[in-house]
Amino acid sequence: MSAPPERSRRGRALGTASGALLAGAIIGLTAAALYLRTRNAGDQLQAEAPARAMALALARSGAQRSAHDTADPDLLQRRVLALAGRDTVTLATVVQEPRSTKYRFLRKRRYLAHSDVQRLRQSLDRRHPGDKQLYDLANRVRQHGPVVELRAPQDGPVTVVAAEPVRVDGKQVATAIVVTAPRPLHVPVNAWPIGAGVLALGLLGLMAGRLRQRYIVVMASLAGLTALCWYQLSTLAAFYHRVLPIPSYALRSALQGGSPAPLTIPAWPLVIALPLALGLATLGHVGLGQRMVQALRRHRAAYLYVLPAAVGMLLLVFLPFGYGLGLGFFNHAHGTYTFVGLSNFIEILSGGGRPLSHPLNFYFTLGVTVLWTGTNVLLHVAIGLALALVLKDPLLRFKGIYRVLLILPWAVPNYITALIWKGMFHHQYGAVNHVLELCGIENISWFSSFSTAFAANLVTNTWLGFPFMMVVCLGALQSIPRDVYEAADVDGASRWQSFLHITLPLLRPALFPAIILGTIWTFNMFNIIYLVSAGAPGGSTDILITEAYRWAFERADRYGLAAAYALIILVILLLYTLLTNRLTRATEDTYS
Amino acid sequence: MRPTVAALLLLCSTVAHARPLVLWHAYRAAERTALEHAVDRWNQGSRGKDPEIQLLAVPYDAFPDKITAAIPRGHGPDLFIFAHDRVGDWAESRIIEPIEFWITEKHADRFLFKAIDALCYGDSLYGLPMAFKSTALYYNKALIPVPPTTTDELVALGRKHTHREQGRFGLVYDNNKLYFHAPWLFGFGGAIFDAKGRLVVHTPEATAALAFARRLGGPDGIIPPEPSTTLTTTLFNQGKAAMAISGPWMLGEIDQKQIQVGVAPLPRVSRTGKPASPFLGAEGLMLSSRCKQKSAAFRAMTFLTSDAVAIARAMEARQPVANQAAWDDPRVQRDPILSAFRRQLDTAQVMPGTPQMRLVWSPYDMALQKVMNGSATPDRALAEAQTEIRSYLSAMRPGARK
Repeated sequence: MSAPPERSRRGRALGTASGALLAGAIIGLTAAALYLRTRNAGDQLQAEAPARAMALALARSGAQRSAHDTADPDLLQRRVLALAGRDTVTLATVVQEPRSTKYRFLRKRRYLAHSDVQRLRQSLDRRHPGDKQLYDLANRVRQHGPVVELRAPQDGPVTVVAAEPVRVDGKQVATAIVVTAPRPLHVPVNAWPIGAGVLALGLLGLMAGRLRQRYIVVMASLAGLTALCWYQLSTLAAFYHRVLPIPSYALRSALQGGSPAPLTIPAWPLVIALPLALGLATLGHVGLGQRMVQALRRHRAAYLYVLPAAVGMLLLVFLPFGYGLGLGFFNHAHGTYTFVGLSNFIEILSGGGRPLSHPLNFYFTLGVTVLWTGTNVLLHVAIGLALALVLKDPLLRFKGIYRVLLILPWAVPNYITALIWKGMFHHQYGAVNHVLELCGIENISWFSSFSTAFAANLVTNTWLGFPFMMVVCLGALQSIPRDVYEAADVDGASRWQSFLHITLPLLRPALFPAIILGTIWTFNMFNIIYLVSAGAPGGSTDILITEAYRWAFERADRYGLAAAYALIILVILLLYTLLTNRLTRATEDTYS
Repeated sequence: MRPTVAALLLLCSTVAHARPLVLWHAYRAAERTALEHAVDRWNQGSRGKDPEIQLLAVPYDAFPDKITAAIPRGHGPDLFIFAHDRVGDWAESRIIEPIEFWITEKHADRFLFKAIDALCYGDSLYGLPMAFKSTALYYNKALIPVPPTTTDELVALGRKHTHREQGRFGLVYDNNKLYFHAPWLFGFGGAIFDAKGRLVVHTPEATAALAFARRLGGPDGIIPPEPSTTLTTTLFNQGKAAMAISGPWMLGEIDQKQIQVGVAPLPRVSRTGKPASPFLGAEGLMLSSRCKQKSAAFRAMTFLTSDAVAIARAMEARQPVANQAAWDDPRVQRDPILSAFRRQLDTAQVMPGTPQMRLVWSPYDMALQKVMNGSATPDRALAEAQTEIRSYLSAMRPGARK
């Protein structure tokens, strides 16, 4: 679209200016929100501070009580109620002492005061669900120390709970528990549908109407800013109302009930909005926006058709990918994730303090993986090519039958093949050793040394891998014109010479992508390694992908470390692909 | 927005009342039928009063991962039956509910002490025991009239029945797995964690146990090369293995028309005089922390682990149940196989249900593998395992987390 150069320049300047403005605004607002969020997280919510103070005060009064004036329950009751204030409905002191010498889980439980019930109760009621919560909380405090948490109890809105151990002479005599009043939950209108709606309207308007580049920027800025302001406002509202009025949280607790959901203000809208807005601004600046909008408008139907697939890709590929990417920077223990920066990557790349010859050392595994990939691909190509050349022979009869038979290994699901081969490699009952015995070779214990276990894996995967290469070669061989060979014949070339100088170079364009693909498949060939040798002996035949799996699911639930492994595998394969792509392009150039 | 939330809440509350208790289990064959009968009894007896129980069989291998993934997201079961060895993890991540609040000493006395104690973590109780499982010595009565009582006898008998060229062996068990190696480890006086919770994998006792296992499983031993649990069942069923070490689950897989099977407690270790003590696993009926009807669920748990139901399960499925009353019942006492497992319980060692223990399996199995295929001496293999486990443990400590 040939707009006058001057207008385009003006549009670009406008785009730059508004892009910068937008970015600045977003960064500023994000910083503000982040500040508030960290402040919230640091102190949990401010609302908890009084509850915690109350728990401490109660703890002190309870301590005095159990130490001195046990005879006057009314006094305690009055103290408790005085402490309770208007925000608190439940206050309790739960005493726990060992009750049974036989069972470590049986403890005596006494319940000293409760502002809800206008009298003192001496013991917890086994039929009362609330009493069980108090008891369990007291137990947690006994084992893990003070607890402050936000929880959505089974029936009722969110409450703040604070509990402290009461110690006299270093011995815990009671647990003080404070549960703040359940407030009427204020659910504001969710900001995100509105923000997204504005954005979508803006984009739709752009696609429908005859608008220019600057409008994208202006509209996108408006939409982004509106959405972000809503988000910040809801954060502020949450802060102001103390108890989180975040709809998704309230909804989730309402739907799930039961235990406390983690106290978080969703950060993902920010994570999505920021790159989106920045990206739009950059597009506007570069002038890509206009072209994109034009393309969108011109091929509207096409993009609509692609949309479901694109959404599917986003949900099924990119989101999990991003999740895995992020996971690499966290450490996992008992369902909680802690940010540890690069330490997972450092642990892997430094070999984890293990010597180079140790099977769990990253470089050892990498070496095995490279060896595994290299030998496999070499064998696949060699066997595949040889068979393809044989099958191409015009004089060969029953070609169709051979072809079907040779493709068969590929058609069987690979884990079934893997299990069959594993059985065949069994020391005593396996077919392989039986055949060797017939040939007068002594039985081999396949999985007890690296070389034989590796060979067993290699044989299995070669069995699975050559048909693909054969099919590729067959296809490529059909497309080589016969007259080239005839010309070579006339020139007196031998068969070997025509293979070397005609067949091979003309096979290259088809074979190279197949080799790249085969390499990536083999590099990540989980099933064969996991099922055939299972890493035996001593994890030495494990490749990177099975190693990652073992860290996540077999060794120590180290999901973060496994994600880091996966990321490193990705980087290696990416570099490999880039490199080979360049090489292929170079070869293409030489003979096209 | 607000009306929607209100409507959803309303929907939830109406659904919650009519909702049955969902119970996941990994039982198969007879155990499954016995459980189904028990649940039928509950469902008939509780009509109108308590929610019904709905059973869902989940494959054993996928079970713990499904629990860990589903319960925190609210899609999990209300109750489930699983071995106690994950209790520590699940308690730490608050997936399962402590239930000792409802328990009295009298109620706890119903169960065999070791079985209920296994379900305890950090002074809380996390389930009621359904059954206990440990390995014991299976023997083919046609070949072994009297089971061995010491390891010397075991080896002598084993040698007599080992004819490698015919594919016949004296003993078969999966000697690459710590679970099956544990009897020797404890019998030789070894341990995994000491009383203070320190890791003691690399000790002279453990080395001696491993050397013994290597003698059994080595080239002139009495065990076939590359054994596995499948091979154990196959060889024993074909009459090619005179003895086997396995748990009660193997009973259902033995063709009792062909093989006259006997079960006895594992023999004493001749060198130390201590009994070979297998790991004890307790199968607990556990309560999800997200269950919406916890008191009703606890009543259902009490019912399914009650004495009457336990006796029915023991009779119907030959399950080694965890109720004392069942073992006092003459009908159960008359079952020689069940009573052998009961006697084995006396010497069995409760498998630690701590998160730390979970880190031990894989490196220890690897050490066993290396020793069995002769690529490392017991001493070196255990030293390596100790270093490896220690590095895992240090990665798990709270200090490394924060």
